[in-house]
Amino acid sequence: MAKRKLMYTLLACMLVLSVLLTGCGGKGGTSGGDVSEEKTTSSSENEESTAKEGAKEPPVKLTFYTMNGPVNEFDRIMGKANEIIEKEINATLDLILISEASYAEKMNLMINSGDYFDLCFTASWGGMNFYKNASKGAYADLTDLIQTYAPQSYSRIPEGLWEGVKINGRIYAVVNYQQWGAAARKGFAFRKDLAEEVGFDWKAVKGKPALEALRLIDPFIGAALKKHPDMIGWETTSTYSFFANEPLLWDMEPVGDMTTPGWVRFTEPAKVINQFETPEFAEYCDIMRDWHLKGYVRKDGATLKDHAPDRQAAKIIAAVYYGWPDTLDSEAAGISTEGTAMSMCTPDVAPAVTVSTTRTVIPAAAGSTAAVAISARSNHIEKSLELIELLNTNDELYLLITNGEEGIDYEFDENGNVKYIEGKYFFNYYEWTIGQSYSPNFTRVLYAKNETGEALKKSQGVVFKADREADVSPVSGFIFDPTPVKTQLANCNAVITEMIPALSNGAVDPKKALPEFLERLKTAGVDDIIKEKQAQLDAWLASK
Amino acid sequence: MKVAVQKLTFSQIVTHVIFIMLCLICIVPLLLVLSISLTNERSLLLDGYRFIPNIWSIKAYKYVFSGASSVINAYSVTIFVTFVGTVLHLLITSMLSYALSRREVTLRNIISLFVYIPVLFNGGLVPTYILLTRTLKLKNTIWVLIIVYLVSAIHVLIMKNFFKSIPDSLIESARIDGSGEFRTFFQIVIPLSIPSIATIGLFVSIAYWNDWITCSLYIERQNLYTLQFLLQSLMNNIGYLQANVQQASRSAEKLLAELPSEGARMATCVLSIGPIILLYPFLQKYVVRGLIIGAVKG
Repeated sequence: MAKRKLMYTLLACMLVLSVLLTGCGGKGGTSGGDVSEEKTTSSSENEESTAKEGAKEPPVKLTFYTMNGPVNEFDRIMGKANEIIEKEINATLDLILISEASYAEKMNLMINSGDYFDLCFTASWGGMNFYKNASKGAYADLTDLIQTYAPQSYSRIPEGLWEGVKINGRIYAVVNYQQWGAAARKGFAFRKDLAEEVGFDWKAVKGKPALEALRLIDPFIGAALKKHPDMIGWETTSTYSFFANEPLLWDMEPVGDMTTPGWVRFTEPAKVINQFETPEFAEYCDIMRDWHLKGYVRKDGATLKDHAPDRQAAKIIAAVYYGWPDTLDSEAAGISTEGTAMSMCTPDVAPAVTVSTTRTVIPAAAGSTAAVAISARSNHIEKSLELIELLNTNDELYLLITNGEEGIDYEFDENGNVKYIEGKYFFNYYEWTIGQSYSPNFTRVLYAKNETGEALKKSQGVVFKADREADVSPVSGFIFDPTPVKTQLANCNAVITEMIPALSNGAVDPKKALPEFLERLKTAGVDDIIKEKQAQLDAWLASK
Repeated sequence: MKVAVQKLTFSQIVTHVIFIMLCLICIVPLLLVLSISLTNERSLLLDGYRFIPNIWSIKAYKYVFSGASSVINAYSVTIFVTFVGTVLHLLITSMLSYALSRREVTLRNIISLFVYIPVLFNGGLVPTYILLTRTLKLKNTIWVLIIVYLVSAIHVLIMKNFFKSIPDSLIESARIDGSGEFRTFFQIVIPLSIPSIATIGLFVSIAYWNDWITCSLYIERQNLYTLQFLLQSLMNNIGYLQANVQQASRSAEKLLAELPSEGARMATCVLSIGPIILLYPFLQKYVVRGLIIGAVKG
């Protein structure tokens, strides 16, 4: 009998453990509401316990989640940074670095489960869902606080950018305004050495509409390929299309998510159109088919996923270019263009010349490209905002966190270039996630102490100036609610991801494939989407 | 040697050839991975993959170890988690399934049901997260890496069926001789169950070794990163840094352009196979026997 009892005890123990451990979640789900109170009490307990130690008010501990890779000697730099932060605003910063691959999932999980944090990096891309999280109340409303606690951050950021972080006119995050500006102007980059070799007049491409530009580039690629047959004229991949992913180059602007059907033209900003039905798209498909047959693009470009190896091997002859001022602008402004190179290459391997072809626009999503939000559950919203202001305006602190200490983590070599020391603290170029690298006096980035550095400052000066003058996207501040046409969107997306790579690579004959593509979109419900987008846009325009 | 060759019949030769091919299929990719990880990055881009590198380079390994303390630290975290986790998993699973296999436990069918329900209906990610972080307060502790995998219903099922094959009379006679339940379990049942324990031990230790998702969700401190998660983060970071070469080259920083990407990918692969591959030969003889258990009894 006693033995049997022991057996039961054994079993009971195992059962309790196993039920506990296999993650039976039923109870957890209902207790979401009271846990936050528990958290509040526990953190106020913390404060009390530290209060006994010092006579002055204890520093507030702020947790800040951001995206980053592994960083060496992180604790040393954070120790130094916290000395500054404690002195300035009587707080300490607990910066938590989450790998880029899991950041979005992790933050959404923390928000959905009501986990505690003070600040976090947020954006409208990569699954971080800034708009969704903000509209369901995850982030604190900063509209009334920002003038008091972060006045300088507010005034440094161009007015147009704030539209991107507003929902119904309220501000839910502070934009991380960066050194490379916010206004977009796109264009092309060409291999400088090849352009010289075959005598290509790349300057003529300046300011041309996309189709005309492609036609101008055509003979250049042909001539260059004849001399270097192992190179690739034009890059195509399954994840990126020169049409579907580049509305600005076609003088259009997406309404809602970029790759969904429904864009507007800049010339006609109140009318939603199906971008795939435009004559531009039809002609673009024809050109790509021609290029495919002529061997300008990789034959397997429609299924290729990873573009990095080709770029690194310096095989690309012509490509899309995002940065500006371009080579012509720079020359006109007296800025050196020696450092310009093709994507993922250095100038000595693949020097480049660039021309921009589009208008200068602050895209609708520019404000939410990178921003810092404060959790609505935070117990220290004002303090967190003070921290944002400090990170954005205290150059010493910002440079310390984003670059480490001079002489230990980086140094300037004999030519005045910045050199990071291997194995030491290195922030992996994620400085844009924690604050503004913009400063009116160029004091928040490690510029090389030579001509290159000066050239960079000058070209950034051009960008900053234009940011204040650029057109703001006609749909800035408009947020498309996709719920009424969810099914149609999913159906259309399936068609688009299937057909667009093939059409953009020219792997299929557009004479047959394009009508088929449009037909399938119709069946998938593209007209409902356009109608819904138009209705929401009209309502928004009317309310303005 | 010569005699042995003459003895081979045609069918034996065919069998040998087939199995040699099979072995090659398994080994050749590993060798290729090893050789890629030792090839210079530029040569990889220009010449493609080769079994014997044109230009040798250990830069990939240098890069992975450039934060040396963190890789070594991650190794020790992973080894600790794998070892402690496997031992605890085996202990709990075997005790649970032993109890479930004994007829004198009256409610064993109902209890089994509780064990198997989560196979079909689990709590979902958000409730699990709330349970682990809020109720159990396991975030940022090494135990979270161990605890989430302590019991697996499938393993309980396999073990239970194995324990059923142990004759009742054996346990009864132990009982008559005055052996307590624990003593019967540890000194009579466990030694008889080595094959099944070894099989499950192998599965579990590999699962612990390869687990990175738990780490990505519940661990926020670098000093508790597991090897797989650290290597994955390093790989992502290389990808990110390379996309930003442009920015780097503006400040004329050459370092990034020469980052080993393909090489480092393979180097992390080699490192992550690491010591766990040594486990298999030691357990192999038990595993072969253990696999039959499920087949016959399951």
